[in-house]
Amino acid sequence: MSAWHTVWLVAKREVVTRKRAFLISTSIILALVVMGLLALELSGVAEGAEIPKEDADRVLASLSTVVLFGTIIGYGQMTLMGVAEEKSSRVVEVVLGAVEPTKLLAGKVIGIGIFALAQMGAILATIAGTLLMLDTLPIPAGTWATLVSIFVFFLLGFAFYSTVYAAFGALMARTENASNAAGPLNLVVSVGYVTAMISTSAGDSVFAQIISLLPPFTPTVMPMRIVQGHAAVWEIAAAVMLLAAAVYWVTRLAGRIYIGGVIRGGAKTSLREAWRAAAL
Amino acid sequence: MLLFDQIGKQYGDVTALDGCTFSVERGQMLGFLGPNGAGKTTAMRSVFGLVRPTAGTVSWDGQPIEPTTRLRFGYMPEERGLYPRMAPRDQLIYFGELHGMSPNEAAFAAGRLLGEFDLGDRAEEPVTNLSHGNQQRVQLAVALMHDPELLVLDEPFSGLDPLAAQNMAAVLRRRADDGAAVLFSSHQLDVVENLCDDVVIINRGSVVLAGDVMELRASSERRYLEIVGKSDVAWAEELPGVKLLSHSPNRIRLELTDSNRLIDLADAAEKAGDIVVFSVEPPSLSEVFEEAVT
Repeated sequence: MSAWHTVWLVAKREVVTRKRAFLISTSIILALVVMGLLALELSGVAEGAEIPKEDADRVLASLSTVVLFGTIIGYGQMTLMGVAEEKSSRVVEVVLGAVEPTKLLAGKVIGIGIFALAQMGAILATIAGTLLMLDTLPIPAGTWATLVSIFVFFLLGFAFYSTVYAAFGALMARTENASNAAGPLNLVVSVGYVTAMISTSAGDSVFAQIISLLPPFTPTVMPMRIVQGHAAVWEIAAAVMLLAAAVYWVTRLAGRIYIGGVIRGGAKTSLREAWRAAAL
Repeated sequence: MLLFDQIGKQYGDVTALDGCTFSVERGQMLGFLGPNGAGKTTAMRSVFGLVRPTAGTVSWDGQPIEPTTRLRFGYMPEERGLYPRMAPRDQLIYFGELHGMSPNEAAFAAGRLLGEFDLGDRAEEPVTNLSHGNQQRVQLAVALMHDPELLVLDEPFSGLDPLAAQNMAAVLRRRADDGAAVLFSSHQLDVVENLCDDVVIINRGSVVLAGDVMELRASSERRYLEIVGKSDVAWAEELPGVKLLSHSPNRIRLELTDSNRLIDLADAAEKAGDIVVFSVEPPSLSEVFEEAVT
């Protein structure tokens, strides 16, 4: 049996068991998005006032940042909970009898990633569709390029964070403690989010330029700068390469911690113990 | 054949396994016994790469165990684990596919095992709604799904009533008769001595006794006399050359010495009361074990 078949089986289980929760949460979010846009339409544009292009860009930049931030944090935590659940219910021991830990981790991240991507795509499509129908905001010229870059940064950002979330989940003994474990990680993602939000209104600061190149913050800050047209091509290229390199290293480090955590059947594990256990 | 060859495992200062050597043949059902903390779980986990031994090797048919080899093994860990919100049938199919079965093969095998284990009407309910005994059966079914060549079961009988344990032992025996190598652990020596022929007993990480249960028991010099029936104990206390080990109103247990003639003992017992059981036995497995480690 090929390695990818195993990864796919794991991913498929993630998808099948979460289908209902996903459909419900996505419908709620989409309803909120549409209502928000309708409210925007009714409040300002009803009087026929034209929204300046700069403001329109700012609204789209904020929206894309919110979507990226929400998706990475939301689905990252889902990964963490899933891993912690597997460990606390001890089922991971049975799974590891047949599946190597790296494949199990890859399958989980891909399975949950499919949902994250689908949800983000649905949200962005709904925003775009509603805006087109309402003709509220002028759609910026580079929309397609922007969308593509958002997806690229999302994929890299998701790979970066979800493996780290998985590693944190693998250290937990009980799912009740898992949300606490996510705290420090959520904080890191939030720093990127807050920076991006501040920068959307304050124009392009040197601070935003620098932080958008730092891999942990790139996924939330860079798309915002691209939407507003502040990012130079070389900056985008550098950010992608730095983030891709970071993904390579982080998945290796997090993968090792994940392995060390899950094989310590049921026990709460410190980072150091997990690191050593995986070395064996 | 599964071979543990001089395996050792050191956790810091703690020695979990210390040169542990034994093997399980295809068609053999081997009880892996020892007190709590003897190293049974560590040895079994090492078959699945969940523990990497610090010394020695574990091999299957003379080859080191690779991830692909393990697809032909079935494993039931000490800490039971199933996906709580998944239905038994879905779990079985999932684990079957993880072991390389096609969806059709897995669905067929799941249906057959659910029937065999009398779980047909609970097959679509979340596992968490099932009773402890039923969950245990699902767990065993998971290990059996892909018709493994080697079954490793950590404490499969714990928490089962005697009848359920007998049933599970019969299932395992059938697998062994069909050619699988079956290794199961237990710390309840007395429960297990009737469930399998061959045992390996470990203590403090190494093998202290191994072989056929009856032969191990018979190889001891000691013989015990068990008498059950209505009689007082006074006559037994007066017998020469016997040691009274224990007695209750209906039961007397004596240790015999070479000089005793059974016929004399039987005579004495018959005179003393109405005897239901009069049986000369070698030490039980746990008594053999106690002798071996003290």
